[in-house]
Amino acid sequence: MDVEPLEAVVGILLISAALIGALSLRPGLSLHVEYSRDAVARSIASVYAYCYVHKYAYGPLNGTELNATLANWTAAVSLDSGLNFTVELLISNGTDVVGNVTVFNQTIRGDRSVVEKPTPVYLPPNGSRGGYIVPGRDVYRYGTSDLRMDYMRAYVIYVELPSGTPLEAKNVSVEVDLPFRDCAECVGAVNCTNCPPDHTLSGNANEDNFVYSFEDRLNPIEYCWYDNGSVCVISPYAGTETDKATFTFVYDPGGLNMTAQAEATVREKSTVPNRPWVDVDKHLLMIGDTLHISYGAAANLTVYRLIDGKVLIFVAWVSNYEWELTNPLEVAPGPFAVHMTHGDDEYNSSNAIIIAPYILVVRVVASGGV
Amino acid sequence: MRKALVFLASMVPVLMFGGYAILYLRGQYVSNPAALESAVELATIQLFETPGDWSASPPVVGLALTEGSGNFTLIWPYVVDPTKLEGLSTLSYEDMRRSLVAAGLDVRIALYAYNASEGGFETDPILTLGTPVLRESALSRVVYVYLAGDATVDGDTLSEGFYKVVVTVTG
Repeated sequence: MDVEPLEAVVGILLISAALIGALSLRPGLSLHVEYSRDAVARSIASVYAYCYVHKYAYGPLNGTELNATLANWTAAVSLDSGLNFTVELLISNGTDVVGNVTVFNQTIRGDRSVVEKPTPVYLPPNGSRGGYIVPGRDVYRYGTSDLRMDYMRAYVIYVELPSGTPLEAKNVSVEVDLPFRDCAECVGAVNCTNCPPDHTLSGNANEDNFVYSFEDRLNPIEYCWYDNGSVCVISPYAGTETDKATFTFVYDPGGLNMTAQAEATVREKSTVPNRPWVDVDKHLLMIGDTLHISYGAAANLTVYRLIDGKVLIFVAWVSNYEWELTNPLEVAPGPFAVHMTHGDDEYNSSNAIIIAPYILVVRVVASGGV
Repeated sequence: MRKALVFLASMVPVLMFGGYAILYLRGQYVSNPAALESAVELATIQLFETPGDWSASPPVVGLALTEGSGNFTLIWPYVVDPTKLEGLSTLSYEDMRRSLVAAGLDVRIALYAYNASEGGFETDPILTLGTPVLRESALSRVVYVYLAGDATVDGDTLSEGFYKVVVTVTG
């Protein structure tokens, strides 16, 4: 059979078109391994972020416990998935990364996926607020021979719950009810005719970056006396009698009436060792700051959160300490007491600080899966 | 004329073969690996990175935990809301399938508990939702999640903690 040249060309073109059409429908390259590795890295980053916020910053675990829990889980994920990981916790003040710690570290080789997940360390308000008082000292002392007493120094912080974000509370009024002998006790005891005035301190708190403080004292402590001026009874109390003073801080904007109240122990000074005050160089701390704590004697330092008692740091037997807020596993937001105690913790001193909420960035590098 | 007819007749097999090849490969589109990759990726993202819309009818499936309300809503990807997991288990398969994958595909979700003392995940799933049948093409994605509270599914309790999830799309 003869084939004309034109027919041959047309035939070849049709066959070519059919083959090209078939070839153009071949499937693309598979990215399954890369997608899988990305998904695992994303899931690790998110779970770390959640656990950090809910189990450490606002939860029961301390830094060491959280680190161990997550590291063991990550090791199981690595074994199960065949991937290697490094996980870093970075904390940011919104502008810079000011602290970091590596919580999981395996060798990274070959193709890798990098995920950085930022998370605000802030829990939405639940509609409630709290006021927390930190007495400057436990026990406050008074003297029956010199009629001098310690300053009744205390601090209060008002916060949104559960985040612990500080509230600005202008015009905080303070009242301190002291346990010294009152008129009824004087008259009832030995028929005194002249009574001491009401043993109450009052005034307005001073503000220092959302921490409100009060400090005042009776000077001298007055007591009961007869008409001829002689003393009926020694006032306030003699010996080892103890009693309670009550601090009341009131912030009352437009009838909101946020009241914080706390009791403190008052005792005759011959029975109580004299303790220094705790001083801090700042009350409001942002991530990346350093807090200078000074105390006039060596003691055990604890920083614990007022909302739930969570302990951030414990340093044994120190008189001055510089605490750098850069380790994510040592920093949680909220109002805190800076507490110095001696071995028996019966006589101690405190100050108050706030750590503002910050941003946590979880950085995960995953490799492998080929 | 005879030659032209012979030529046309000789081209018929070529055209029939080419047409058959194109139609056959087009029919493979839905279940080829690239299509399944996209489907399983999207299903996984929707399940674990979005909170879903459980007030819709039928619900838009998403298991990510959310916090806050009003102007402030925080979404926790790969942190499973136990209430939503319970809701997913009571959803009909057809509603779940249509929410997660395209027509012609099926989906299965299997959860494996983390055993902290053993340092690994259980080999048998503690919960399986979706199709029991895998067809000729199937692709799985593994992710690791945290269940943010106890969940009760079919009378069994899944405790708060870490889980491995295998999402399988088949077609």
